Amino acid sequence: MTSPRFYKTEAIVLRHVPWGEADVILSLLTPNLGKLRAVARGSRRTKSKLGGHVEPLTRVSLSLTTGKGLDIVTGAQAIDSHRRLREDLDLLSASLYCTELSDALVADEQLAGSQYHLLRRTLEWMEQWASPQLLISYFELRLVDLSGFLPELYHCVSCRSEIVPDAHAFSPSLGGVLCPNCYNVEGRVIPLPVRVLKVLRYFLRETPENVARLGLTEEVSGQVEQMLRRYITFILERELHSTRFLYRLKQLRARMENAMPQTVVPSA
Amino acid sequence: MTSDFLPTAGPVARLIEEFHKLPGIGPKSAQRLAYYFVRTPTEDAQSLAEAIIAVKERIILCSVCQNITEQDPCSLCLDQRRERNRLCVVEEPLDILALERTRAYQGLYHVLHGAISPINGVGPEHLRISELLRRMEGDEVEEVILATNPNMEGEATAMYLLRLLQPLVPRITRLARGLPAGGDLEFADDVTLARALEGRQEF
Repeated sequence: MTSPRFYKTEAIVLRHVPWGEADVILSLLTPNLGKLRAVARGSRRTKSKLGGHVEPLTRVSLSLTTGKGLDIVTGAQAIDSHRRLREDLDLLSASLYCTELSDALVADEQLAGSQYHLLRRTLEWMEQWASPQLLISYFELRLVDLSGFLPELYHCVSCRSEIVPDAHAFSPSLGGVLCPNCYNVEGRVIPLPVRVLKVLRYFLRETPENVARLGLTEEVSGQVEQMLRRYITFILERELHSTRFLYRLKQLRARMENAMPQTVVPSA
Repeated sequence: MTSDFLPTAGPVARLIEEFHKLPGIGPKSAQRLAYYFVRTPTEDAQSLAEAIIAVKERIILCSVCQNITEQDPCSLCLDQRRERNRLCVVEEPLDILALERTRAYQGLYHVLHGAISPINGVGPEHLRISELLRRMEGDEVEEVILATNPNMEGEATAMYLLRLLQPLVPRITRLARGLPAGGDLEFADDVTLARALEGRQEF
C-alpha cells in the first residue's frame, strides 16, 4: 500500500509496548485505515507532549509520518481519554478485554470501520451501563459477527432443523446450536439452556439501549459469559491474556465479600 | 540476526549476537559496540566482563523490600534513621533511585518488580505482592504510598493494591498526578490537566 508521507487519522489506542529508552509502540484501530502500528517517540518521558494522549483506551486524533519500518506519531490530541474507565479497576479490566479482543480479531491491513465504531461506542457505554459483564457479552457477540464468525442460533448446525424451545447444546467447532437429536454428533459441546439462547438472539436483534436495560440473573449472565468465552477461545485458538485478570478480580471480589467484616490477609 | 552470512570473524559475530539481545540495541548498534571492543584495550573489556559477572553472582533481592542489594536485608531496610511506619511501593528498583534523589522521603520502600498489564499477560501473581502483604502483618506500617507509574499499568496496579491493602493499613496514599515542572500547559492531556486542577493548592 502506498501511503502519503504525512497523514492524519483518528484512532483508539489498543495497546502500547515500551520500546527503547523512552519510546512506545502503539497498536491502533482506525476508522478508515484498519489496524496500524506506530511508534510514539519519547512518550514515556514525563514531559513528553505525546505521553498522556496515547495511553491505551484513548480515542485520539493523530498526525503520523510514514517511517522505514513503523510509522511515527508526530502529534497527538486525545479526543476522549475515558477517565472514568481508568479510575475504576473493574471498568478498566473490562475495557482492556474489549480492546485486546478487537486487536486479536481484526487482522493487520483489514478495513475495520464497523469494528472501530463498535469499540468506540462500547468504551462510551462502559461508562454508562450498569453491568460491565453484560456489555462485554454484547460486545463479544457483535464483534464475532462483524469478524465473520456469527454463530448459527436459529437452525441446528447438523440437521438444519429449526431450533424450538428445548435442551440444546452449542458447538464451538461447528459454530452454532445443535438440536437434542444431534447433541452427540460432536464431542465438545456446551449445554445451551433456552434462556441463554434467547439472550444471545436478543443481543443480535435489539438496540444497545434495550440490551443495556436487560436484567439478567447472575446464573444466566454467567452462562452467557462462559458460552461466548469458549466460542472465542475456539476461534482464536488461545485464551486472551486479560481474561485471566478479569477472572482474578472476580475471585478477589468474592474473597473480599466473604472476608467482611473481619480482616483477613488474602494471598496475592 | 544473520551474522552467519556476514564476513565477520566468529568471536566478533558472537559478540554482535550477544549485544543484539540487549534491550534497546538494534543490529547496527550491536555491530558498532562489538567493533568498539575489538579496538578497546583488553583491561577495559575484562573490567566490563567482570562487572557483568559480579552483578549476576553478588546481587540478590532484599528479603524485606525486594530491592536489589549485595547484603540482605539491604542498607535502606537496615537504616534505623528511616521512618519505619511509612512504606513507598514502587514498580522497579530504579524508581527508588529517582525518589531518593529528591531527599524528600525518609520512609521505607517495597519493589514490585513490574506492574499489572492485563493485555500483556502480567498479572498480580507475577509481582512481589505476597511479600508486601506479609509486611502488613503487625501494626508497624501506618501509611502505604502507592508510587507506581502514572500510566495505565501503574494505575491498574495501584487500584488492585488499594483493594488488597484497604482492610490492612490505616492510610493509603497515591503520588500526586499533575503537570511536570518545566512542562507546557498546552501539551498536557485532559486527564493530567483535570487532575492538576483538582489537586490545586493555595498559593
